[in-house]
Amino acid sequence: MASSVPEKNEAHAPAAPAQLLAVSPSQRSTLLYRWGRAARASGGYLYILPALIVMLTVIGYPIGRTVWTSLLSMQLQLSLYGTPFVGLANYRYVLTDAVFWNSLGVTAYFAIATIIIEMSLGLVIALVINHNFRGRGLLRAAMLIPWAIPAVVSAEMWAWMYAPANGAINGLLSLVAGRQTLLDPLGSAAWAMPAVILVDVWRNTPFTALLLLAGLQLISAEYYEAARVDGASGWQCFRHITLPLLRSSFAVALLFRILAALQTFDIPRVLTGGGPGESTELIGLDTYRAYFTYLDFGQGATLAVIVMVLTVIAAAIYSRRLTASMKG
Amino acid sequence: MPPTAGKPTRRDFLSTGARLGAGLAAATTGAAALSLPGSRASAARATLTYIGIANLPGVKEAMIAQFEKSHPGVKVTYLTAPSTEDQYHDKMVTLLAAKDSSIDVLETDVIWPPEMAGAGWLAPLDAYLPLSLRKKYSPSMIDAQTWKGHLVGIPYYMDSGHLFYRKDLLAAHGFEAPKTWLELVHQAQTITKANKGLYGYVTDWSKNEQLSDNFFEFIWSNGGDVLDKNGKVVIDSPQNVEAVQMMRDMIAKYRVMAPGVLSIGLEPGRTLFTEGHAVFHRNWGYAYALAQNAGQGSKVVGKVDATTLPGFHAGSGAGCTGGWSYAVNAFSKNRTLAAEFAQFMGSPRMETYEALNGQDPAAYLPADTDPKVAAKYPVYPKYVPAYASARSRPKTPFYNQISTIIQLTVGAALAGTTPPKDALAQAAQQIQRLVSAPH
Repeated sequence: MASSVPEKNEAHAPAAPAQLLAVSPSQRSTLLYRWGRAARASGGYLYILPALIVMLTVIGYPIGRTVWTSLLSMQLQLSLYGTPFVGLANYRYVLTDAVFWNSLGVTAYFAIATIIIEMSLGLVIALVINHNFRGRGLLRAAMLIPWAIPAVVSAEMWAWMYAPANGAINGLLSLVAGRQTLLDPLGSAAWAMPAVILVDVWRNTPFTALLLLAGLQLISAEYYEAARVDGASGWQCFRHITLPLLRSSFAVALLFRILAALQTFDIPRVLTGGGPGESTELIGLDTYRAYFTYLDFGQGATLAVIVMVLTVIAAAIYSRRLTASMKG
Repeated sequence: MPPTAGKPTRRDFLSTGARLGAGLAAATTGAAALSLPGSRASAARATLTYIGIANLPGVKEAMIAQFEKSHPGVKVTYLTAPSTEDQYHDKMVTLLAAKDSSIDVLETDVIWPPEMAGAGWLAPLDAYLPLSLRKKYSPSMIDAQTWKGHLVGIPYYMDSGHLFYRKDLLAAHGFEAPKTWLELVHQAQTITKANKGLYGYVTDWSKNEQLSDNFFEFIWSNGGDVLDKNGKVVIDSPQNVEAVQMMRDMIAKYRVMAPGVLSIGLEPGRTLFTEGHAVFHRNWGYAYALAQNAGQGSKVVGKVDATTLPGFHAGSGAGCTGGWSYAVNAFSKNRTLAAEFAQFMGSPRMETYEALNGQDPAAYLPADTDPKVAAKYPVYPKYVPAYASARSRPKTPFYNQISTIIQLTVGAALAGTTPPKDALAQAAQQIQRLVSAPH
């Protein structure tokens, strides 16, 4: 700050903070120097200390608390009898529960199906609207509508559309078929899941399309021009320029979708409540129910910890693959 | 009028003492008990917060105004509960678990007391409904509101599963209201064959509490149950297998169920019936008023009647008890006044007023047969015999778990993925595991 006013000599410079007045400039620089040296010597940890404190408070504490709760018998309707420490009893209970294993399978089915469909459909949409054509801006905005509607609202809307006797889908099918159709996908053990997946795809594909579109727009047009000059075909451009350069955007979108699929709750909750039977019983529903319907916070925390571990494993495998492939 | 309103009685202290003796909610309960004698004076400028499920506009407000008039200086704030029972439950549980005192009086569903009173969240109200008066309330409601010998809610809205039917269509085919499930099937098949586009039986067997209620009604009407008197798990009994097989057959073999029975839910189902698309409908008492109201979209005004649900034998039908009660938050800063308010709202005079002006039948049974009420709602007196056979769902703090197990397993049987026998065997195993799990 002294440099901005050249006439002033060094003695005037440390005017501002009162507590520093007692410290001479040379002392101050020594202090700063010492702190900097200490911070560097700590391997940089002192520098990130503030961020670390924030992280520990908002992430570390809830996670630690959840892990601790999973080791207690904490049933609110029995809270008068305390919350005794039970070790791994909750984990034993959950891991030997047929409902849990079923919901794990259902969650895998849901996650794999939605991710494959949403990523491929999202890529196609992104490639289409990356081209210049009339009304592109309007189309981009319109595309985001399903994603902008709250999930609960769109699920409720789809539930009415799926209804067999007076729903819109059966109404349209009846017109096409020329006789009344009474399909009830949400009431069928085999079709309930595809119906839930369809709503999830309808809602979340715009999000992946948007992420991929952002990636596409980062790719310089010069690459394509150069390729064209060399006589590359459209497919070759896509295969050897677009796909490799889109890889990191694709990776981010994919990671987001994996995490979201493991946590999906709102759409199946409204559409089917996990039914019929246990055919759409995702692990998110299972966890919510343990907490707020059973009031069994020990079991709820146990499920939350298991989902967290699965998520971390998925993310870790994935980001390792990703860094490896980026280096290669 | 209610006797000895607000004066703490020995009974009240005894029940508080018993709670303390059992090592329950020591600090708050004790403090409230000590402050009882002085609370009359402090009630002079007191406020109460009351949360309840919606009735017709203005009804609760008028009752509250009467209470405020008889208790000068008292101001009652009325909050409306979230529209679905599940959301309301979760909201109350979150609040009570945090020992929150912002709600003084809450309305509780018939299945909540074991869980909430079991946790020590509801104040005992024994002194506020004397035994002589209690006899005039629905016995199954009083039973549901009694936890460990203490009354923890004053019932005001009596409900039960009823069978609604199109009396015009039944009469046209010379049928009486069905007494057994097979009679219902036969009548539904006959009438739907003659009337194109009409469905036989509409009810809610989608995955929620309604499915459990319907399941209980089927197994009870065949002499079955989930737990026997000693708490032994008997859900996989042959009678129950037969009952679930009947439910499945009504969908797949007899084909009398309206499409969407496994998915669309209670209100969309009710709409199908009141718009004239079905012959039979199982629902709670509220459906009748809607069927009689053309303004609410009913196309069957004057064509609907109600009766006790069918059984496997004539006379074995049993409805599931539903309904709501006024309860007092054990953490309320003004427990005595709150209890007086609950007592006032659930008094015979107020219940008769509410039955006449609102949309729900009263738990104080003389109100349902009151001449003025019966003139306005001719079906209420018909509900009363159904109340006599109505039964309560299992009284356990783990009811929600048991109900979920039923929804998972019986739901799979109804969808045709698991044979009823296997589904109930799974249910038995899971409930057994639940009740034998260490706390």
